[in-house]
Amino acid sequence: MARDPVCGMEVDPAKTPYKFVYRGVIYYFCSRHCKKEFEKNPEHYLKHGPTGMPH
Amino acid sequence: MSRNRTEKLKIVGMHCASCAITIEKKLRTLRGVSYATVNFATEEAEVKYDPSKITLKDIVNTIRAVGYDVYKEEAYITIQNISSVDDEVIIEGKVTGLPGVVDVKASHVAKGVSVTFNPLQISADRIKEFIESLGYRVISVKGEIEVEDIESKVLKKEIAKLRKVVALSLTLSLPLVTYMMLGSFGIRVPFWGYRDVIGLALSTPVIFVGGHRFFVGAYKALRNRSAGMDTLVSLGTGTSYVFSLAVMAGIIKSAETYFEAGAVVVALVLLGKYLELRMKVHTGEAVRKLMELQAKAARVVRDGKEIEVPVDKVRVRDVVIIRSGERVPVDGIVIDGQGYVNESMLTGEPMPVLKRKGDPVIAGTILRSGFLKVVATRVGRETVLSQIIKLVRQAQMGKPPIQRLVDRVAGYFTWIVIAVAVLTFTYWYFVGGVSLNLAVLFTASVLLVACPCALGLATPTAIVVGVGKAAELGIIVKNVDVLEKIPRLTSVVFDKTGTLTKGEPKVTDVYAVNNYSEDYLLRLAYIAEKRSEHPIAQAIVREANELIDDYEAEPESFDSVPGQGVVASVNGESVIVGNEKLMKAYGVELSPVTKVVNELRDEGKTVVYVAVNGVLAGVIAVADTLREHSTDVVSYLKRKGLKIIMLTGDDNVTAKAIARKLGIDEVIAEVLPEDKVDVIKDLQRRGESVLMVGDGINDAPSLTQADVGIAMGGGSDIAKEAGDILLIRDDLRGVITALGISEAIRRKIKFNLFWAFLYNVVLIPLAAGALYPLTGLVLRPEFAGVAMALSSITVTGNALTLKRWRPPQKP
Repeated sequence: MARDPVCGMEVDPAKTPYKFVYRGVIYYFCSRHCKKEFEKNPEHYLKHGPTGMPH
Repeated sequence: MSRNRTEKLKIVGMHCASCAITIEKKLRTLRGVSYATVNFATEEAEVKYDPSKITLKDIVNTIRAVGYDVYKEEAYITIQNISSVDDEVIIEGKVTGLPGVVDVKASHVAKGVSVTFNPLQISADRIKEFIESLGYRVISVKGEIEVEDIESKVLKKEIAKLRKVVALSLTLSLPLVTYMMLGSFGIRVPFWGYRDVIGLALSTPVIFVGGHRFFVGAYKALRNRSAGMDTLVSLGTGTSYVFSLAVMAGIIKSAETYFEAGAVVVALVLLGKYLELRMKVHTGEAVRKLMELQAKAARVVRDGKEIEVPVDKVRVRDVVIIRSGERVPVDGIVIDGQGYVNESMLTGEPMPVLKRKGDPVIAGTILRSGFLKVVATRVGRETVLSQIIKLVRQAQMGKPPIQRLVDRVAGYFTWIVIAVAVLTFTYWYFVGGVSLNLAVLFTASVLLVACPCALGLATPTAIVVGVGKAAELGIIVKNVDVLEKIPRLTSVVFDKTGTLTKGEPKVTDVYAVNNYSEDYLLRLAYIAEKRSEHPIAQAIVREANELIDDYEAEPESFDSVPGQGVVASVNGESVIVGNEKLMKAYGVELSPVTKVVNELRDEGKTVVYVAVNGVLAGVIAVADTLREHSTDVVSYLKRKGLKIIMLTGDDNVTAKAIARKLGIDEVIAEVLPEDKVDVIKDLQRRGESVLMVGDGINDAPSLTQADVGIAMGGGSDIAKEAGDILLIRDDLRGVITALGISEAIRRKIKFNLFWAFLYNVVLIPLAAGALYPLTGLVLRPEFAGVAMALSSITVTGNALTLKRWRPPQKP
């Protein structure tokens, strides 16, 4: 299991279609919303950790 | 007082708690919804809403619009006595009001109602009971539309019954009319002094036996507080009969009886109805032809013995034996033998195709020569053929928005006619100063000439025939609402892979750098890609197959990033195979290949980079062949004034090179699969009305988002495919055919409606005696009845001409 860097939920990497590669690391997301949010500002989430639902 | 209703719904497709919150928030913004909660664990939603402000269908659609779905079930209820649009309106109106009912489509042409409902709230049995309580006779309730041909049986039974009634009515009323006519012309006929008694004796059975169905229909409508064509016929014939009785009894003085008018009208309207029903049998021919493709029996091997069983007894994994000349009874895979199979029903290709061990066969195709042993993979309702039949039948029940409007008008229409009839009588008797006889005659004619039927038949007959014709051409119009959207389309978006191209890319070039050998590069890519289902990955696997010796080699780890590539570890080395974006995310230096890559892309090839431990090892170029007729189809649509846009995940340069070959000016490239739907939304925001052509499974969201979605077929699970129109045959020209037949159906509907309205607008005033003061013209009730019957027949016959529609010869 991986952790969604935006909302902090557990995500199964084998199942989720929402992935994003940043600086050589693959991140997994629970939804398109979280992924889009991460793409906008990856550094923020990597520095501050998950901040909950973006909606 | 609170009229709120609480509904529990099963949500499909949630994969995290944030989904639950998304749905909940969206539901709470809806007008009429006072409370909504979604539980991620149980996948259930509870919604409290006011049914007078919002329908369950709207709620379900809202959930679908945010990307999820609601679990629903469907029941198909065949009804014996659903005979007009009025019945449809009654049933649809009442059943929609039941809690748990999402959607209702009733069709008197198909003799049934299809109900989509929420099984957590209501059952199919409960719906059936409710429909029966409205006064309808339910023949069967099925979980799905059956592959069996019930409605034509129902129709044939009704025709046989009607034939007897028509015969009786004509035998009694025609002699009566002749007698009365001869007599009133002054010719001496026997017993003329007893003409009233003769009239009463001959017309009474016609009115009450022949006209029975009209009175019953009128009563049923009245009980549901509506009125329809049965009401008009009952009033018209009833008026003249009661009037004549009153004259005979001496209640009305100095007037003539005319029993014969009521009788002959009943006979003629019945005859019209009879002819119309016989035509109706033909409207459903296309589906019947499809059903005939289904073999009734199959030969299976059980306990080592070959036995013949009914086809519905064949189970998945049974071994089925097919001999030369026989139809394939189920979908399956050949395990032994070989032979030539005619698949024209699916592919439109008349040449038989060779099937050998491992090849799939489809139920309904014919083994022309040879012998096949097939293991069944899909049986019964699951076969491609059954799914096609089901979809076509569902589509035939569909009503485009214009018909819903017409149905509403038709609902008032009868009342307007009754009002006109009353006014006619009042005017002529009290103002116009004509005899009571003539005033009654005008009134009866108005009631009898008015034909709400033609209005009700105009659309459904055209749809049943047109959708059936389309199915014969390999096109399934799943959603008839799009008929009205097609003429408004402004642009066509083609998904590139698998739609404009064949979707079977091949490796064309391998270029290694940084001291890697080309073979080694391909081998690494092979191992990394072998678990991916992407067409490019499969192209690499196919290409490498020839130079690989250890097929068993597996990556130690593997992950795929949609739209970008794969990341794997092979023999302890980190291997990345993918596009430029993926390479950049891993910080791979791409400059050694810049020049080569640009050349490859200019040739329309897609470039895949391979990197090992963060260093570029080389590139593999892949190219896909264009589909046959793709240039023709593009130029045809361009000539029609549509803007053509190609959508692809490829890089811009490659995409432009391919678009140039096809004559497409606009390209939207480098789009991730999940973002395709946004592209469509953007276009729509800019005011475009979009037709999307793509793959029914992978492009499902964008096909749904587009104003009209056409799914390219070839899939085996067609019921799951998205899109408003489905092309069963793997031929891009189907897009042109689909647009053509849709336009033909729409025009036919318009023409039919125009005709039906025009007929009423011209003949009702005529029947009311509008021309009487000038020309002395009187439309006798008998002729009014004939005119009405003819108008229904014309509409049905006109719809039948759609059968002769041909696709444009040269695209």
